[in-house]
Amino acid sequence: MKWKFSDDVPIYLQIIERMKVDIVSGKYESGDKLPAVRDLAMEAGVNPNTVQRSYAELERQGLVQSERTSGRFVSIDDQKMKELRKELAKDYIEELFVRLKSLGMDDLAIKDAVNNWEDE
Amino acid sequence: METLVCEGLSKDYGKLRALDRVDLRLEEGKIVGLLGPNGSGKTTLIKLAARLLVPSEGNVTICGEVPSEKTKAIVSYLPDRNFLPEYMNGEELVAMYKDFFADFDENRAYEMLGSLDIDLKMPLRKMSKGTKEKVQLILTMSRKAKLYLLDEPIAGVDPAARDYILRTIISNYDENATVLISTHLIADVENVLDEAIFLKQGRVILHKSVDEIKESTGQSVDEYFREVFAC
Amino acid sequence: MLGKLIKYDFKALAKNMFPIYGLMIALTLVCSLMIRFNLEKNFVFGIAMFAWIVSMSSSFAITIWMTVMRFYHGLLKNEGYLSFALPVKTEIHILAKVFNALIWAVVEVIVLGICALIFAFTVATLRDLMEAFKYIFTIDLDFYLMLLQMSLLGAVELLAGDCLFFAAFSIAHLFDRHQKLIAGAFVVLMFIIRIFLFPQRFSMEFGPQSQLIILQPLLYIIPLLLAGVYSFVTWYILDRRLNLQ
Repeated sequence: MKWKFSDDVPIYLQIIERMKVDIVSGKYESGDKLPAVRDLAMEAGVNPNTVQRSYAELERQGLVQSERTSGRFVSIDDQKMKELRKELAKDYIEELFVRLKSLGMDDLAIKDAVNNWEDE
Repeated sequence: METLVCEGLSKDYGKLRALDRVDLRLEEGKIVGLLGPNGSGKTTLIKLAARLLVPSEGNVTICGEVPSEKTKAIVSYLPDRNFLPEYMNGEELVAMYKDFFADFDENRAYEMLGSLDIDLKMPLRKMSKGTKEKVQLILTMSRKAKLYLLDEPIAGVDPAARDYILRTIISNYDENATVLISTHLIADVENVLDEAIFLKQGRVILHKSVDEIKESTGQSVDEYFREVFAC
Repeated sequence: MLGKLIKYDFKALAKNMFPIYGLMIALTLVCSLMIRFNLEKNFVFGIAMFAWIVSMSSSFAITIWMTVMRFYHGLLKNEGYLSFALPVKTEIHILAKVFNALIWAVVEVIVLGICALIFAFTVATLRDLMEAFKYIFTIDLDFYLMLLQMSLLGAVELLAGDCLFFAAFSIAHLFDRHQKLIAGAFVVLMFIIRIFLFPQRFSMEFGPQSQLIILQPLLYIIPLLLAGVYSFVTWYILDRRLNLQ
């Protein structure tokens, strides 16, 4: 699994996003252990403090639980999963709209394009 | 706690002012980039903290102490040149570091040298430039210091070696230590930095967290740096 | 720490010095063997003899130069970045260099002694040696006393000389360029000043009264004093004005 970061967004936000996608896509299941801070930092080539910050934020959002001695675990139920999926989807859709609007399409045209794409 | 504090720190070389009233406070547990073009005073600042130079004005302290043999015991310094005796081999260098630095972890050094796959009996002068730099870094990072001063650790080595060096830094520095990395290759280091210091003609013109820079400017540190230093 | 510093300096110098000393001993052996077997007319002998004389007469200068260069490279060039990163007080660094200079002066004397013995035992016949041995006991005690004093004076002068060079290179390191030239100029200048200040030092007599040298404390005090002053200058510059650029 290779890590690639875009330049203009803080890395801790990109790690959070990546983790959320991994959770929603089922790569991490509830109860799975997350990599140790230093291991993930090494793997991704980033500062351990950054990983720490991402984990803290995931914890704050209730997606991760830490146990003092044994590490951090994914903690997610169906309800939270639904919300998370919705949240991520919202971001993607927003991005889609922003991009297509910059091409000069209005909302209706975009919706049409999406429907057509599905048919094809 | 603050590991490195500079107050009104200035250094003149004859008529040239290399460092001009620098005020800085670096906290423990941070990896800080000292960024600036050549001649901006990066090396001077690091040498003042390592006490290879004496300030012209102002002062610098490390964990509250003026640089001395006491601070040298807790500062691990990587100069911007080949500073190790060229006739020594890996084994001899490890023995020497163990002899002189109480915080040196011999096993860690051997482990890292082992993963490099180099002949421990080969003298430094026979090694390639990249290998030499790696050996120097391994020795520097095998100390459990409070402050690491790394002067241009990735200059002049190929991208693979850069990657190796950066990973060695993030996987070895102590959690309570501060790492100060000077470089002009910002794009390569910015992912490992907590904070960035921009140095321009001997003055600190910015000292911010990397996340803050990205959030407020929507740019990478490298892009922002180019903008600030555009001629 | 002092012991460790001396150890590493000794090792570093040994890499250069032992081959030189080895060459000196080898040349001594070659020359004396050729004399022993009457091969003086061989042209190889001429070359070997010339090399031998050069190596013997310049060996002291080489030893001093090497120890001074160890100071210069170990503290004021690239390796200085390591030396001054060690948790060691400046005065300990200087002491280590001084001790090291003295150690190598002693090694040098021992090597010269070995060469002399090799020469004597190869060239001389057994009878000659017996004669010489008998003669040694007939020499006046004064002669040995003088020899002792000469050695002591030599050691003290050497110490002062090394300290002068150390101070010279410390001063020179404050300049950006031509460091060796500046150091050399300083050494010459101090040497001239000294000749003018204390001329009696250079008109020492080897007479029957030579044992009285030991009663002339000035001969010892002046170089010791100078060594002290030079060391202080070195310490002040390296500790308070260090400028590794």
